[in-house]
Amino acid sequence: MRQTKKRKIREGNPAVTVLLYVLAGLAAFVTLYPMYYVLILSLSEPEFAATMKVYVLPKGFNLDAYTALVRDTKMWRAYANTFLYVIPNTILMVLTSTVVAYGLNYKKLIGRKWLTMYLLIPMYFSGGFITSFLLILKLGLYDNPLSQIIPSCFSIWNIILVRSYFRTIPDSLSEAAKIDGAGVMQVLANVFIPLGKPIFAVIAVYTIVGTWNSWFRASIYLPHTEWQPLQLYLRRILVEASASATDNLDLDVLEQLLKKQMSGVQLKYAMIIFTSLPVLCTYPFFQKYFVKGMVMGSLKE
Amino acid sequence: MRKGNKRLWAAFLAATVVSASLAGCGQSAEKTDSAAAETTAAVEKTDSAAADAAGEDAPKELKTIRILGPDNSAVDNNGNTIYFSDWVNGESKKWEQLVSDLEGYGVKLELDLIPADQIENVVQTQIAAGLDYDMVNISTVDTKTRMSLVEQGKLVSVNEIWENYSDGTAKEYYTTGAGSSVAKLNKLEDGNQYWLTGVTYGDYKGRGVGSLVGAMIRYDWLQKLGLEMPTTTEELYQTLLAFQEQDANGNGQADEVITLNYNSFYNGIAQMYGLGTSSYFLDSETGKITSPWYQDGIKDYITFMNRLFKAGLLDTSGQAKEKQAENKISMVSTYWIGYSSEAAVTVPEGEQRAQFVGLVCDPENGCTPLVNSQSAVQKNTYDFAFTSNVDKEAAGRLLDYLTSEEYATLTEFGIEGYSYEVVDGVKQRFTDSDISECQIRVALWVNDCIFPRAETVDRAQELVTATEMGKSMGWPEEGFAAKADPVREVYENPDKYKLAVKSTELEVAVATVEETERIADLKTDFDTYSEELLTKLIMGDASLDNWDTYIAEMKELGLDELIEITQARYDRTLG
Repeated sequence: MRQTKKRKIREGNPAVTVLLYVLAGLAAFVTLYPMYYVLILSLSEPEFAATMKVYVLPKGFNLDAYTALVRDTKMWRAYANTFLYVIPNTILMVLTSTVVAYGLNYKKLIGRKWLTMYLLIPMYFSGGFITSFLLILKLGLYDNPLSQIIPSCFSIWNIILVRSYFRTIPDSLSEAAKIDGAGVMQVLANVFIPLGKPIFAVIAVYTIVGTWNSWFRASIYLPHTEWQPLQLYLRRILVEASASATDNLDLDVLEQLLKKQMSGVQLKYAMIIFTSLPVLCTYPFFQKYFVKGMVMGSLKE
Repeated sequence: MRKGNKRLWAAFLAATVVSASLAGCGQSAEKTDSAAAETTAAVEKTDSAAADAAGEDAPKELKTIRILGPDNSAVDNNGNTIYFSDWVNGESKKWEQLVSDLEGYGVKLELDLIPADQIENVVQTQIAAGLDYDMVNISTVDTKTRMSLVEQGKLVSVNEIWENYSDGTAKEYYTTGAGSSVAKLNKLEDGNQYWLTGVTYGDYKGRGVGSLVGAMIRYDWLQKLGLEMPTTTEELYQTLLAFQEQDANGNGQADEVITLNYNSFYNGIAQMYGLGTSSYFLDSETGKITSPWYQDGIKDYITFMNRLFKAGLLDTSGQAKEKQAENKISMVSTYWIGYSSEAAVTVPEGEQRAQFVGLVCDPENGCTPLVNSQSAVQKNTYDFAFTSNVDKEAAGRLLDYLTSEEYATLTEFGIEGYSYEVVDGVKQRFTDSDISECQIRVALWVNDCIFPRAETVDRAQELVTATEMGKSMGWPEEGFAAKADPVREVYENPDKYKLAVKSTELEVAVATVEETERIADLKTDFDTYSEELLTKLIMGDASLDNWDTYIAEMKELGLDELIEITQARYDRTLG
């Protein structure tokens, strides 16, 4: 009797359910409202956007900032660049993770443990930024768009993730394929790849979001605007909008700075919405893979 | 492999190869299409200009100078941000003129323009990689690194260039002309100067004067409420209180506040109490470096600020920008002749537009108030250096051009008949031009860009221009005459007003390596302490009763040593 009562409290108590819903609602509000706030600021009349006194609905309706953005050829170029980095990065990341993970999962591989160790050490102890910069410089990738692709097309973490997933695939399946005459590559193509689709989706989503949001590497390796990604362009607008008028600015410079800040007051909000839109649209479709990815990350061997 | 899978893989691989090669191949395209296009545009124009000129005088052999600098930008009257690279890529007659002028001097330019937010990283990485340029904007490079570059022989001395490779123009400008006092400030221990800095010379009816900075009050609110311009700090307090009590902005709330740097002494009110503009500063009268913490008026100043704070008149929310837009700011501290503060205020429809007017109030303690002023010959804040790669002859030619009258006119006014006209011997910009580049006051290649500025400001004309500007900013009858009046008053009566040095750092010589290291050791901790203490005292979180303890702690943090080092740097400029 007592046990049944306990279960009832845990599973069906209306007060607890309401509380959980309220908590979930609060969490959702805290997560969504900042984005909504930026959206209504970007749509309000500039004088209200400047004072930031817009909380629930847009005050007035003004699309000038969006019009200015749509006409901004530099922004479109940055948008195209981001796609140019997202597509190869995603494909190459899935490819490298799969191939290396398959090799590490192959039990007869000579020195498998050492290879795994060789991969794990730099994952925990990275060489740091200076060494990476020098390497990029020596490879001739400085000021080259490939600097946004080659260093980002593999990840040891993702390799470990895929290898862990491959380990969950029963050996009997690959053994059966071998009995049917399949070679090493055929086992990969006909057994592991078809069964590994969920993990590939996880890796793809992580890579798409990661590449879409990245700007730091570009800010170091790409000194010219032509090949810079969208996030760096967004950062530039935000930095200009928040630059402080320090004590020693000359009169002309101060006047220009204030002028820039006034003209860009709404542009930054519109830009945030504009740059986030593709990824925001992506999330609902990939949500289940995100959950799966989180669970996989927690797997222990 | 199943057919479907094969197709899928083939599609994946093809997309990867195409995307990667598109990006990779772009590298070469980039060099020609973009960054290099920005630069080669200049070269092509130079070449064509050279061809045009070939029929006239025998042109000098063109020598190329490669320059690394930020892609400076400005906003035109339509709110469009215009970049210097846009000008270089063919959107500027002024730039075409400069390229043509330089061709006459036998110089052509290759520019590498980097977005302003990245320039610091790029210059530092370029320094690490060995500086592959002839001339670099080194404004973001700290003194220690500059010294190290000098020691390594990576920077060449500019005085050697104007001594040996100038046709006389640059030498005269930097030794006896407008640039001489600034050149003196840039002299290092070895007696050489390794970077160029812009100069602003202010001329008011044949006398040198600097631009004024300080506290400015809402003149339109004074008029609206029928209040007099305050002349003492007590009157100032009562006026600010009246703005709140009589609801100057008419929104029904007592929310009219002042916004000032209350954690530093650079705010105008501190100067009303005779205090310097920074925590150790040059007293222009005595030529001594001292600290406001040692000055007589300091306790009275803090008491006054504390009074403002307690009465809710001082904004400490950090939301000054928003409050200004909401028409809640009664007093600011900025350039007395600027007009951006007004543009940032939104007043209700039908109300008089904002106008901030500078003011000096006598303190109740009998101290002489100061007016914060630039020097008549003001060093700018941007530095440019020639590297060891430069052809010194080409550098000499460039220096001759950068110190010439034609360069100064082109930079400040543009082209006659296009962006300015001469009326009664005075150059006047077209203020109503529809052309974007003519709406941008100063050429984009100066300030934080590729060249130093050689500016001569006609301060009398500046007052006229500011007054006229007011006519299009909500004051159709008298314009910003009220704004210009106190500036004119100070300019006209130099003996009546005691001036405070706006920026001591811009008035003293470059620090030596040892001084740089000592400053780096002391300054951060001292500044933090000074700023925090000032804030606490003004907000009432610290008591004036413990004054001796505070001074002892500041001495321990190195106040006296910082004063001593700055004094030594100042003395070197005199020597």
